[in-house]
This record gives sequence, C-alpha cells and structure tokens, in this order.
Amino acid sequence: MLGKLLKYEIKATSRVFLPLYSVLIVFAIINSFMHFNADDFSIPQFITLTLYILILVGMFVASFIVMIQRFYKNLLSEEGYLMFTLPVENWKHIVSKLITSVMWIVLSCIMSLLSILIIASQGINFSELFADIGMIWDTAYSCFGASLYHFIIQMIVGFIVVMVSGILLIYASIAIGQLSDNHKILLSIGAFIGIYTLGQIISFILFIGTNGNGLVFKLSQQSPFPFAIIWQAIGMSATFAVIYFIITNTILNRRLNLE
Amino acid sequence: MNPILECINLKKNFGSIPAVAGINLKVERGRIVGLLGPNGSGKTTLIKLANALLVPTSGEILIDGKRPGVETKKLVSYLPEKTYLNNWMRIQEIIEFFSDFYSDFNAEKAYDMLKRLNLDPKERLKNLSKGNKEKIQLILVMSREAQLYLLDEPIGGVDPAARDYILETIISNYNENATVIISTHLIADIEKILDDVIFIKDGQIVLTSTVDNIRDEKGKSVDALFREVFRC
Repeated sequence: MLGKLLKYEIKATSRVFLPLYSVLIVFAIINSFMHFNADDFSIPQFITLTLYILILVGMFVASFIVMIQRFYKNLLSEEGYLMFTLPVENWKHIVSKLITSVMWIVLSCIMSLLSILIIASQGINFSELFADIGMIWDTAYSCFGASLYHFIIQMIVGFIVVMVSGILLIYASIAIGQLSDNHKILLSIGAFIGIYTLGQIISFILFIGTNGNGLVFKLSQQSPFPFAIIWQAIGMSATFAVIYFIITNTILNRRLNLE
Repeated sequence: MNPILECINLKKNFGSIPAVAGINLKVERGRIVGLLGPNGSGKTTLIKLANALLVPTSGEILIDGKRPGVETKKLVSYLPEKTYLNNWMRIQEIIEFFSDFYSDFNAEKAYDMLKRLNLDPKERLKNLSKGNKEKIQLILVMSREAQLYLLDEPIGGVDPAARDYILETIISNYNENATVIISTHLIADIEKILDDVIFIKDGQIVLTSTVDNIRDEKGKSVDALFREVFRC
C-alpha cells in the first residue's frame, strides 16, 4: 500500500515539477547560446539570465510550498476524508509524503547542476573539466587519505538526515496547528518556532556545554577531521527526526479532527 | 456472527461538550437503517467514530467485532457530507484510485452509473458542479461491494430526479448481507426504503425500531413520528 500511496503522491506533484524542470532546461539551453562575456553584457543576455535565475529560485520555492501544501491539503483539509478512510496505516501517509518531498528536492539539486553545466557547455572543454575534477580529487585524497570516502559518505548522509528532519519538523508543526479550532496557521507557526528553538537549545547544551566540557571540546583534538563529532551531530538530527515523526503520527492517530 | 456495528457506552466529547453521550447500539447485517436526528444531534460524530476519523473519549465502537482501523476500513464504504475530491484528477483517474486501494471496488459498476447519470469519465473533477461532485462520490462509494455503507447526508445537495436514482442505486447495489446506514434529516424522501430507524438527539439514542413497527403499532409514518419526537 505504501507503493500505491507513493505512486499517487508522485503523480500529484509531478504536475508541478516536470514542467518546471523542462522550462529550466530550455532556459539553460537558450543561455548557453548567449556567449557571455564579462566586459560586454547585452540586454538580451541580461534578460535571459535573469529569467533563468528566477526559474531556478522558483523551483526551490516550489519544492517548499508543495511540501507544505500536499501535507496540509491532502491530509488535513476535506481531502483527508478520502485519505484517512483508505485501508492504510496512517504512518504510511507521512512516509509517502516525506519520500516524495525528499525526491523532488534531490532532483531539483541535480537539475540545477545539469542546467549550470548546459549554460557553461559552450565555453568549456570537457576533457579539461574532467582533468580538473581529477586534480581536485587527488589533492583532496592527499589531505584526507582513505578517509575521503568516509567524508563523502558523511556529507551525503548528513544532507539527507538534515533534510528529513527539517521536513518532519514542518509536518509536526502543521499537525500541532490543526489541534486548534480557530487559529490553525498561527499555532503551526508558533509550534515551528517553539520546537526549533528548543532543538537549538538542546543541541547547544549537548555540544558546546555550559562550562566548557561539551562534546565539541572533548573531540576538538581529533585529527585530521572530526568525523566522530559530525556523526554525533547527524545522530542527534536523526533523533529529532524520530521525535517529530512520533508527534505527527500520534496526532494523526489520536487527535485527528477534520473540519 | 458479530453485529456489523456495535456501540458500547460510547462517548465523545469536544472539549467539555458531549457530542455523543453514552450510546449503546447494535446494528444487524442486511438492513437499511435511517440514522435520524436534527442538526447537531451527533449523527456525523457517530459516523466519524466508526471510520476512525475520531477516537472515542470513552466506551467502544466495533465494526464486525473489531475496533476501527485498517481492517475495518476494508469493510466500510463511507460517504462523508464533505466533498473530498481533489482538483487534479479526471473522473476515470479517481475510479482507478479506488480500484487500486479497495479490493472490493467494481469499476464496471462505476462506469455504468456514470453513463446513467450522463457524466463523462474524461471530465476533470474540478470542473464538476457541486451536485455532480456529490453524484461522483456516491457512485464511488456504492461501487464497492462493502459490508457496511455509512452514508452521511447522501441526498442533501442533489436535485429530486437524481435523488430518486440515487435511492434506487442504494437499494439495488448492496448485497443482502450488507447493511446501509443513512444519516439524514430529509426523512420523507428516504422513508420508503428504510427497514429500521434510529432516532438520535443530543448525542443519545431516543428510539430504535423497525419501520413496520412504527406503522403498525403507532399508526404513523416515520416522518410524522420524527416531528412528534423532535418537536421544538
């Protein structure tokens, strides 16, 4: 059933993202024919580049808005009467929306990179580019040694965990907001600020410590790179994500009150 | 065999206000039951409790002996009073959606009813009038071969001609072991199809009876009795 929920969630959201991606690539191609020159910036170049940047920014804004809109409208507005009477556990609704949001954010990042490559494609020699990338890799490898792979894995895992945690924080805030009869949006925003602040305070106490004996100080001697402390930070972010998930799921199970 | 719906001292409060105030009830299989009461009497709350859209404050509600959850949702076909259709699908896509999620959904039946009501499967849901949206929802709900149909105000927003077709659809589309519970305050329109009635007021059951009993023993129509019981 999770697969079926994902199928419809992707169907509902791809209506927004696929056209955006197409327009982004089209504008990247147009820009690639503009032969940019730093000394001589013509008006058509200025216009096409501005439009491209607007679309690029719009794509990330859309990821954010669609994430909130799908959770609120599909689950907590009148559409909730359909979704919550499907023979599916409530947590699967949360997971299907979470996975879909992560997917679009990652795809948006990939599309941004691709569009930049397209724009630059007229001016670059790809064999030189790959040679440069190889050189950066070699330099990095000489600094990090075998732990370079560790570093890359850590960055990727960290990126995903922080993103998931952020999305679940927003879901939890929206779910808390719907507990109010008259001020759902206000309570959502209040919940977001409250939980976020609390999370920051907890992180601060754990990592910095109140009198110089927090984790940062214990681990700052590590070399060449403080992997352990970053894993700890990722672990804490993951713990927060689990807490946000439990808050959201509990409200959907026990305190759902559709209008 | 368990009764299809059973309430045991069921209570639901909103804040300090009781919406369902201690209901004990058994509904058997194979009946068409009218859940009748004035506005705000607790009809919708009771139906939402049966669909796990609300959790009881105390007491129990059981569907086929089970608490509302994934297993009971497979047995219950629910028509809410709200319009739950999204704005991006076409009619044929929402039919596919129901086929995907409900193993008891009969798509052929749904297309048949669409034809009878002159609705184009390619039409987008967002372009439908309010009355046509209600018809689509009823078609979706009645195209399932469920054990319990919970219809909350199914005829409120449609014209009288469609109303007759809908009632006919309800009677002809359920199997003899299924139960249909219809909540409404438009009693005269549905009286002729009901087997049993439940009168509900202020979150409590005022009367349960078969329609035959009301006619034979009290010599009244359900509509007349309703007006008497709920006189303002």
